[in-house]
Amino acid sequence: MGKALRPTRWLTLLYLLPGLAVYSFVVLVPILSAFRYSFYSWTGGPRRSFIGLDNYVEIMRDHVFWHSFLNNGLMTVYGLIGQVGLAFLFALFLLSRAVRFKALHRTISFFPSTLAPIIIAFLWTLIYNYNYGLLNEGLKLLGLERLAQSWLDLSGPIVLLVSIPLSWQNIGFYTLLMLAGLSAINKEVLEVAELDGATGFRKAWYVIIPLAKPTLMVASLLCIANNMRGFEHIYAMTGGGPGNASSVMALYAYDTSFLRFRYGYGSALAIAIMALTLLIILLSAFALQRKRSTDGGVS
Amino acid sequence: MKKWQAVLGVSVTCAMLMNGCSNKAATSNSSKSADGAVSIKLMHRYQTSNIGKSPEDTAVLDGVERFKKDHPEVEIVEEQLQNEDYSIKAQALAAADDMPDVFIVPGSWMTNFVANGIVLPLNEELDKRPEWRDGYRPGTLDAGTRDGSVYGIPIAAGPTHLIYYNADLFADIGYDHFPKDWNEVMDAGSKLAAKGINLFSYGDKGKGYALSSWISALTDRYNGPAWTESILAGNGAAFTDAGFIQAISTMSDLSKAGYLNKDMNSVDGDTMVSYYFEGRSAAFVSGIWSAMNVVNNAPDNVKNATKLAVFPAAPGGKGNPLASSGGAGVYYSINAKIKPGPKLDAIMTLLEYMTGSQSAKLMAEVGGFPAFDPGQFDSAKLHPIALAAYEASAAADATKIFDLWFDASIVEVINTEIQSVMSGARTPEQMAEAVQQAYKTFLSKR
Repeated sequence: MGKALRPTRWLTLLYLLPGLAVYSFVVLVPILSAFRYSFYSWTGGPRRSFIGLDNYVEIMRDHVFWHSFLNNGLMTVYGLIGQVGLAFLFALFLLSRAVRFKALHRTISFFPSTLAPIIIAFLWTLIYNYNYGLLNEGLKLLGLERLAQSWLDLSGPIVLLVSIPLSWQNIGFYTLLMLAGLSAINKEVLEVAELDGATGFRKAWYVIIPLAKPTLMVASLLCIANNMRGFEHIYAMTGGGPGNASSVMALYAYDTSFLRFRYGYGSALAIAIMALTLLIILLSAFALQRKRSTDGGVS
Repeated sequence: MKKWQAVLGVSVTCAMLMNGCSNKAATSNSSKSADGAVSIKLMHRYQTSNIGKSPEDTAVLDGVERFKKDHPEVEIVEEQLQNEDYSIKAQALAAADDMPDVFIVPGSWMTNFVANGIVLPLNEELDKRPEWRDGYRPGTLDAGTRDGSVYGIPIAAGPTHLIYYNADLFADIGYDHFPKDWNEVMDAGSKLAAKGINLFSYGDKGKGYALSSWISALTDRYNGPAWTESILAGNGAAFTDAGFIQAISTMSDLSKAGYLNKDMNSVDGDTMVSYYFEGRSAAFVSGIWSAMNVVNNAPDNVKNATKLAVFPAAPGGKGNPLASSGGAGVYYSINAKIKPGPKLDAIMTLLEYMTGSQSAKLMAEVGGFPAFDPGQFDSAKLHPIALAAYEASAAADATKIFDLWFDASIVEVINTEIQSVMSGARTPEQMAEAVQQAYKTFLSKR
C-alpha cells in the first residue's frame, strides 16, 4: 500500500474500535469476570466471600471433574479417528477418478454440518431409541434382535455412542478442509509418483499424507479444541447420564453453577477447562510440529 | 509496543464502560413511575397460551386480569417466560442483583435466596391480612418459610407421588386392586412381564423425577418423618441408615427384575406417560399434575380404566403407610428492596388476587390442587380421575419432598447416583455412601 493511502495509527485504531468493543464485551469481559469470581464462594446472589485458591484446591480433588476430563479426552480420540481420519479418507475417495457424482457426495456429506447441534442430538436420540429407534429396527431386520439395546442407557460405551453423532455432524466440514488441502498439492508430484509405480495406498501413505500434513495438523487442532469444549450434544442426549457416565467438563461446570448454585466454583471450573484445553492444544501442536521436523517433511 | 498499550487501554476502557453500565442498571430500582402511579414489575412462568390447558396458568392469570380491572390505577409490567427460560433469566438477574418486584421462586431455591437477601420477609404484611394468611392448607407455607419468616406465597400444592394404574391390566392378572404389599407388587410385576407389559413406566432423563416421585415417599415409608427432620437439622441421621438403603434397593429390585422400561434413564416424563397410554406399562408414578394429562390425552380405554393408589406400606417401616410426599413447590416472592408503603400494599393485594380464595376455587374447578384451601367448589365438571387425584391429595398426609428441602449439592448427588443404580452400574450401598459424603461436606461448610 502506498504511504499516502496508509491511514494514521490513530485512524487504524478507530477502525478497529467497534470490533474490539464487541469482542471485549462477549469474550474478554466474561473471561476476566469468571477469573475474578473463581476466587470467591458465591451462591448466585449479591453476597460473595473471598476464599482465595480454595476452589482450585477443590478441583484438584474433585473426581467427577477429572472423570469428565477423561471423557473429553476419550471424545477427542474418537473425534480424531471419526472426524479427521474418516474425513481424510472421504476426501481421498472424492479426489479419486473412480468416484462419480462428486458434487452430490460433497453436498450430502456436508449437510449435517448445517444443522444445529440440538437437532442432531434429537435425531440421534430417536435413532438410539429402544422402542422406535432406527438402530434397533435395523438389528431386527438383520435378525440380530438379541443385540437390540436401550443404547443411551448403557454406562459402558456411552462416550463412544455420543461421539458418533458428533462425528456425523462434523465430518462434512473436515472433508471440505481436506479437499482444499489436498487440491493444493501439486498435480505434477502426484503424476510423477504414479509414473514411479506408487498407486492407491502407497501413493496416499508416501506422497499425499506428508504433503497434506499442514492441513491434517490444523484439522486435528480444531478437532481437539471442539471436543474439549463439547456440551450441546451431551446435554441434549444424555444430560451427562446415566449417573456421571457421559459427563463432560463444560456440562459439569454448567450443572455446578446453575443446578447447585455454586457460581464461584463453576467459574473456577470454567477457567480450569480453558487452561487444560490450552495446555492440550499446545502440547499436541508441539508434538505434531516436532514429528514433522524429525520426519524432515515439507512445511 | 505503543500500539499494544493503546489496544490494551481501549479494551480495558470498554470493559470498564460495560461494567459501569451493568452496575448502573442494577442499582436503578424506581418504585414509582413518572406520574406517581404505582407500577409493579412481575416476572413468572405462566402463559396466556396455557389458559384452559393448565389449571395453574388458568387460575393465576385470571387473578392478574381481575386485579387489573379492579385496580386500573396500578400499572402491571408483566413478563411471561417458558419454564426453562424462567430459571435461567431469574438466576442471572439474581446474580446481578436486579430482580423484578415480584417473581417466582421454586422451593429448592429458597434457602439460597434468603441467604443472599434477595427476598422480602412477609410476616408483617400477612399479619395485616389474617383471613388470607390462615386460608392456606397446613404445611403449604413451610417450604417458603425459613426460621419462622415467610418469604414466599405458595400457588399450587399436592402430592408428587401418586400411582396411576390401569385397573383392566391388573384385573387380567387376577388383581382387583393395586398390590397391597411389596410381595404382591413383585408378583404382579412378574405376571405382567410374562405378558410383555412393564409394571411401571419410568422416565428419569431430567434427573429429579426419581427423587420427588419415588425416593421422598419410599424413604418416608421406611424411616418415618423423624429421620428427615434429623437429616435437615444435622442431628445424627445418615443416608447410610438402613431405611434409605432399603428404599433405594426397592427401586433397584424393580429395575433388576425387568419390571420397568429398559430406557428408564434416557426418556423423560412425557414419554413415560405415553408408554402408559400405549399400554406398554400397567402403571406409572407421578405427581398430581399428571391427572389432567391423563384426562386430556389418554385413549378412552386407558382413561376409563385408570385408578389411583399410593405405594404399599414398607415391611417394618416407621412411616405412615398412606403418606405421600407433597406440599407446595413453587412460591411468589417479593424483592427485598421494596419498602413498606403503597407499592408493597398493591403487591400484596395482587398476590391475594393471584393465589387467594377466588383463584383457588377456579384452579380446583379446572382440575388443579391449590395451596389455598378453596372450601366447597363445583366438582361436577371434573373428570373422575381429576376428582380422585384431588381427594387423594386432600386426604394424604404430606411428607417432605426431599428436593425442596435438602441442599442443592446433596440433591444433585442423589439425582446423579440414582441413575447409576437404576442402570445397574452402582449398588444402593455405594449410592448411600456417596450421598453421605456429600452430606458431610455440606454439614462441614454450614
